[in-house]
Amino acid sequence: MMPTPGNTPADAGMDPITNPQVPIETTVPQVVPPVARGRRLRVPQFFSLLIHNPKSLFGLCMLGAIVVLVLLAPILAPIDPNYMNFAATGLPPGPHHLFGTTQQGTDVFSQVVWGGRTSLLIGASAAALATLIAASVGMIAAYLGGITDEVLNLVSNIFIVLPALPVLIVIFAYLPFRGGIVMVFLIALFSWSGEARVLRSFALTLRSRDFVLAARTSGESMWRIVFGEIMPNMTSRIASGFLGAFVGAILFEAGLEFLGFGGGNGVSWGVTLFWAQNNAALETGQWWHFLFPGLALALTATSLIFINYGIDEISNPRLQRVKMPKQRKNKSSADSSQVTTTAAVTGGRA
Amino acid sequence: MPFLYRRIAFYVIALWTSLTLNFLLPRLMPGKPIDAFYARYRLEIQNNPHFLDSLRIELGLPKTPLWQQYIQYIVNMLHGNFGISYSFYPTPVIDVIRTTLPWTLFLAGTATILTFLIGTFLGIVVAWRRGGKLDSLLPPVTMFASSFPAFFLALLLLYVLAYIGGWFPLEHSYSGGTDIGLNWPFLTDVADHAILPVAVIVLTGVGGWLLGMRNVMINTLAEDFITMAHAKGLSDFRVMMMYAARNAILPSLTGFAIALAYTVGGLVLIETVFSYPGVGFTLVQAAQGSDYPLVQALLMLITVCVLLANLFVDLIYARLDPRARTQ
Repeated sequence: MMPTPGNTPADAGMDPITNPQVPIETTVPQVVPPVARGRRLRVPQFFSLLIHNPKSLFGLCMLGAIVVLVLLAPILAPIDPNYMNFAATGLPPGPHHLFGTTQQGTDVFSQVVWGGRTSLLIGASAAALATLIAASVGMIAAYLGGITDEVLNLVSNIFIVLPALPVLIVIFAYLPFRGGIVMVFLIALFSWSGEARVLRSFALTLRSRDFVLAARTSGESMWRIVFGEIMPNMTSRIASGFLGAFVGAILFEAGLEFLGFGGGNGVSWGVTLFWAQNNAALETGQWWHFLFPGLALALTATSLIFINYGIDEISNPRLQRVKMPKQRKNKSSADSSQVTTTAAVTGGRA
Repeated sequence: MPFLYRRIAFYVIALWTSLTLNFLLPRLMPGKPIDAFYARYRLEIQNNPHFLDSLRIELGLPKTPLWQQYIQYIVNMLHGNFGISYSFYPTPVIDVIRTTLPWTLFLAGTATILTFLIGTFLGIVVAWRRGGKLDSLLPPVTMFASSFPAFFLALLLLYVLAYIGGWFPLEHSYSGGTDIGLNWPFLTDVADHAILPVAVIVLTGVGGWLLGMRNVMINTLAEDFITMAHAKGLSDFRVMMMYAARNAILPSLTGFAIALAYTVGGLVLIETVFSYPGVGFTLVQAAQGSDYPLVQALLMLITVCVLLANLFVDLIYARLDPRARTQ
């Protein structure tokens, strides 16, 4: 629905083949230099890097809190989210119903907590599937080159320009069966393409490295080279792509459910929002019906985007914050400040 | 200009793919569209056995082999012959489109251009003053705004500004009583109705452009020619706009395709929230009402618009970057 840091316009432009004017070096800093097998960036190390970046730490804490709340749903929200209590309809937030109740008397807090399970599960599964497709397509295209590359590139470019949400709406309109699994597959099908292009350009820079050449000469299979040699060197970019896809998938799911194309019988943030819209919660002043599920959605997306922003900063040192000398305040001494400006600017090149 | 020929060839392929997808989807699905229509008009069909036959012809679903239907379908689509809407029966689909398309073009065009301009400009400023107050404030704030689901932000704004505040209209693209035409009251009324939807798209979209521009700009600022420009003693503004931003904007332009797809997707939701009578809102209505001819036509229309916009950006791109032309 909107470009996320993992999927920003800039990333899409960094495609050394179709856009040779983007110097290939700009994509390189994120690539961990190939080192001996035992010294590769392992997962705990990556995690500790994340914790040391304030932005990703903030995002991780937020996401962690949301996941814990959702996992504790049976304890926190004992009321069945679908139970209609006709004695308590349309109540504002209060001690008995933390987030109020809907027009049908269902508890909004229960719906938000239980709905989070569906939303997160569908979002994570769709994102994982989309990332798998993106990584496979991107790396195989880059590694094999030639006609395979052309075809895969064409397919991903077509998926990039197709407006995903309208197409999904139309597919769901025709589909006689709906449900979580269908949703996961369809969302994944329409969210891998942008990432595949980015990952392809990454894999391209790795393809001609010595260690890949060595693996090829020693007769390793394509799959082993692609997934065993190339992939471990771009994990941080794949992780960031996954988070971007996660945000996208959660928003897709919510959007589709909100429009009434998800099936509507489960509990998820999108379904709650759909009912809020259907019950005219807005026109009757029942703000709690759409505010809380919407906030849950927004906070989850925010947490993921912050983690992603942190990854971006970690893997691209140029984006890390530099304290700039305060020289532009006094325009009168522009001549003397010019030196410091350029020094600060070029200082970022290391 | 091989670059442009290649791009145009690509868009033709993309258009053909979406046309084919559009053709195959309803025919591959178990519940055939004609069945839905049959179910709805069962009484009429029982009373008049020829009703269905005439409908088959009228709705473009004759009993012929698939490949013949396909050719017929492509010919129909290229001629703008989209058949008859089920839900607005007997209005032709083309007439429904004629009333909805201008609204969406107006909304999407205004919003996309505004978002691009604001986001890119803020990105330039923020990258230029990296580490400054604006730089520590704007990226996180716009990021937070862009992580807001667009339709949720739309609901919020609608509730706070239109429902409680009463400063903006609650729905539709113009008020009932105004004369439609090029007169001042109508234009201000339309603008009044467009402010909230456009604001939602701009608020949620600006972050992406800002970050994209900022990140490329930071890389560009480290180039030698920037140092050179400073050394020549050019003014800061000139270096920022004419040296750094001019070069940093190219990757942003190539990202236009993705951004536009997002805008169109978001627009479907936003139009629904505001009951804005555009293509997105109509698409949702048509899909919910199983109005397949309308659904097909609208999807094709949306795709064509997105492809045309992309082609337009490519033209600009080729104009701006000589390397793309000689490639």
